Amino acid sequence: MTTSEAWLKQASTFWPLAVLFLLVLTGTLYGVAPALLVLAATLLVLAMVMLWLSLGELTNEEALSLEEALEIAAPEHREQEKIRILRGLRDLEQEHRFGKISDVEFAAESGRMRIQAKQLLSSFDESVKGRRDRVEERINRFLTNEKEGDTKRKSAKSRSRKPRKALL
Amino acid sequence: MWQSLPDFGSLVLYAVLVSCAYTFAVSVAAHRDRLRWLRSARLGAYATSALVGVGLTMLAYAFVTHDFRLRYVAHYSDRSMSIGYLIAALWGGQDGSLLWWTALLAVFTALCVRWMRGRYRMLQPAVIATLVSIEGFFAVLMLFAANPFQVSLAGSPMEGEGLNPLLQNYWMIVHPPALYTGFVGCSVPFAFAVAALVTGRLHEEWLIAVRKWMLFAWLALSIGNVLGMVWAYEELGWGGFWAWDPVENAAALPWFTATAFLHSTVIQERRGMLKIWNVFLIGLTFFLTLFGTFLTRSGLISSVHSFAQSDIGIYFVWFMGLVIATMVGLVVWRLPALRGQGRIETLLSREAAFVLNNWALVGLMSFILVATTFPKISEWIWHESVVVGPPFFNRWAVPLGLIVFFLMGASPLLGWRRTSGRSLKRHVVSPALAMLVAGVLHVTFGARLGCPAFVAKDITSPGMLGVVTQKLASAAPFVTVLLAAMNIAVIAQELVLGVRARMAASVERNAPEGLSTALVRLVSKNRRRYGGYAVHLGITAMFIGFMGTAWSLTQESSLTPGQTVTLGDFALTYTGPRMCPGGLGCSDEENADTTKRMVFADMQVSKGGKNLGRLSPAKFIYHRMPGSPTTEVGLMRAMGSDLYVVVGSANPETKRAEFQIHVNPLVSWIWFGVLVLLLGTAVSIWPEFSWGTLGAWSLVRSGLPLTTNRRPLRGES
Repeated sequence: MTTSEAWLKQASTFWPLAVLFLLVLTGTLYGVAPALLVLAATLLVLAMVMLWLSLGELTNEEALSLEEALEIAAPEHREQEKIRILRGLRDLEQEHRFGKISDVEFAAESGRMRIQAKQLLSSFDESVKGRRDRVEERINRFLTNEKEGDTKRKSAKSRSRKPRKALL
Repeated sequence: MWQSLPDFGSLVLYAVLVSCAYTFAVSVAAHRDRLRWLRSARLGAYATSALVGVGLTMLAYAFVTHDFRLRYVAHYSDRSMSIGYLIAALWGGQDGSLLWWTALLAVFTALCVRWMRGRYRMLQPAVIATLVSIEGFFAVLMLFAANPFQVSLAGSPMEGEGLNPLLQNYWMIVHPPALYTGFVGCSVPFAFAVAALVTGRLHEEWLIAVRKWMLFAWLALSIGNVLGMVWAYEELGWGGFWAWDPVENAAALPWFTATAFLHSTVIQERRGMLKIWNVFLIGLTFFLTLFGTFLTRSGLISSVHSFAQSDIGIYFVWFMGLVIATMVGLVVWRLPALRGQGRIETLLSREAAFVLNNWALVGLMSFILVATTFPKISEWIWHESVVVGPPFFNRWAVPLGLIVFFLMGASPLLGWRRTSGRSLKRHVVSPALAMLVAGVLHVTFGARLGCPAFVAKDITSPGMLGVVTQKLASAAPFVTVLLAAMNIAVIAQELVLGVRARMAASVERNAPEGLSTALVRLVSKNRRRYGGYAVHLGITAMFIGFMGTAWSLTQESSLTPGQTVTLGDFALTYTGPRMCPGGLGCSDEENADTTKRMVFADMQVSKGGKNLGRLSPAKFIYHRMPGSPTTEVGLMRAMGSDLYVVVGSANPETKRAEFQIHVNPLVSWIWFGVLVLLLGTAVSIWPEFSWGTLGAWSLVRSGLPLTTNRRPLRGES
């Protein structure tokens, strides 16, 4: 994040309050009309800043920072699908408790929804499978390196001891 | 700047148009996974909204400072108006109300863009592009057909013409903004529907996204329409609240389709059905908001409160054509993906009841649409304008409304997919019993209490059809009572079943819950369901209020001071006229008001020998508009019956006054019903799941890859 953006981010937390204070102050001291002018001026400045930042983004070649990425990232649609199925299951159980659907219907419908949920969960697993394999590979590599490192260190130690012993 | 305010205002409108075009272009480009450009489009949308805010604030400034160089300000305000009415004058006329509309849309756009932060990344570009396109259309409209910053050609007058006295009512300060909020609110669901079609992401994602936006728009439409009814009831002085005026009808049309959508969306979520129907309903709702505005602004149909005939109608025709073409094109393109997954297995299922309810609501909307535009349709076909009056509307809208009312009560009795006969029998008993008791009580005591079960109605059309409609109209109060009892019993039964099941489950868990705890937890865990039932309860109360019109009493009397007239249980004694300001018996407040001459005709009211107080119906003659005296209703509200008195004329010499007296039973139930509806919607709209907790990992998962320069794959979230 650049210095100006960081400054803007900090400013965004207090500027609405500052503008509100200024509006109330102007309205109280000078009346509604000057307060409206202050509001219009604030909005105009805001519009110009936003347009300037917007144009800046068009020419920005840098990779997104984590904060920027999270701002436009989106939860997977499967997360929403999960919510939908969970909500459906809850409604179904409630209707079954109320006696609106028979045991047979409930078993069939909830079975269908549970299969959907299982498929969804397995698709979650598959979606992370590639990454998981990569992570496992890296961990294994790391552990192997560590082992090799340990062995080397041990051998180095022993080598360093030997001359000492020899010295001794 | 003071000297160049009109130029500055127009410049701001041009800036809005340029900003809309820029944001649209960047959004379209961002659609190709350019994440920096998406950020740019988001910032552009904020900038556009801020610019619209500048325009609106400058117009408000012009009103407050009485800048009569502006034609719009000179036409709709004068120096005597208070700040509240000066601000209300922003939407009092056509040009300003278009800017007001754009400003509301700008607020919705900014809120929507802010809300989409961290959500719906693939839909965002198309949503932003659609919203700024609509803003752009209104900017074009203002710049080239109805510019609120246009100067008066004849120069700046010393004094303005003032706001129409009929609009100088506190309900008019809140009614148009509420209605516009509802109209404009429908743009966000429409934008999401377009985005879903454009990106091909037609699973339930967009439906979940739009549900609360649509619910909010629906609530605003409900409040806006009811506030309009309150205004008509209090200000127009004809004794009722709904006259089937074209503008009233146009405002109600999107409400029906939005209601249908809120129900059919549940079917798609639950069964994966009705995908095309849902897209159609969203498109139709948005189209109807435009059509309503077109009807009001174009002067196509004459109405008591439409704006003067203007040139902007043709712009709306083109834009509506573009909306239809876009939606039809997108639906045809995505037709394979829009095919439903399931089908309705039996009529005794929740989805079948919802579909029937949808048809009834869309049928009711279609009937009102055709009847409202019938003068124009008949003119095109038979070259003769046939005006359809309130009796025709009532004859058909009442039975259709009762069908919707029945289905509203019947739906919760049915389960999804199919309802077994045994289950149906068990759940139908209580509502049937409630209907039986209500029916017997109504038939037995109704007439004695002034609300008979059947009311005599004239045959209004020849043949069998006339007899059928007459019978239906005659039985409408009785049927309404039965259906109201059914609806209340169904909701009560649902609550009892829920609380009982929850208490039983809590005992099994060894953590027993009391009645009130179980009730509160039941509702808070199922806000959508029980919020919906509360809305149904509110609508039931409103139906009870509508039913009251069947028993209203009206009498016209010419009285001299001291004479008494009786209507229903009320006795009204005319005590004499009063002229204010300056006359005898005027209050300080009345004497201080020099903007108008007020002629009051005071009446002392009693009921069953008990004095209820004084009513002062009046005629106000505004000095600025002496040719348009306004009728000020004398109104005494009660949950049982409203007493509503209008003075036609009062002779200052003979002191004789002409009165129109109405006893309107149960009208207050409509306003009460809206409050319940508001509460129910608030419960329903309250978030069930927090993205902060539920979506946190998902958000991080999808956010991290974006920090590198890797572009996400198409279709990947």
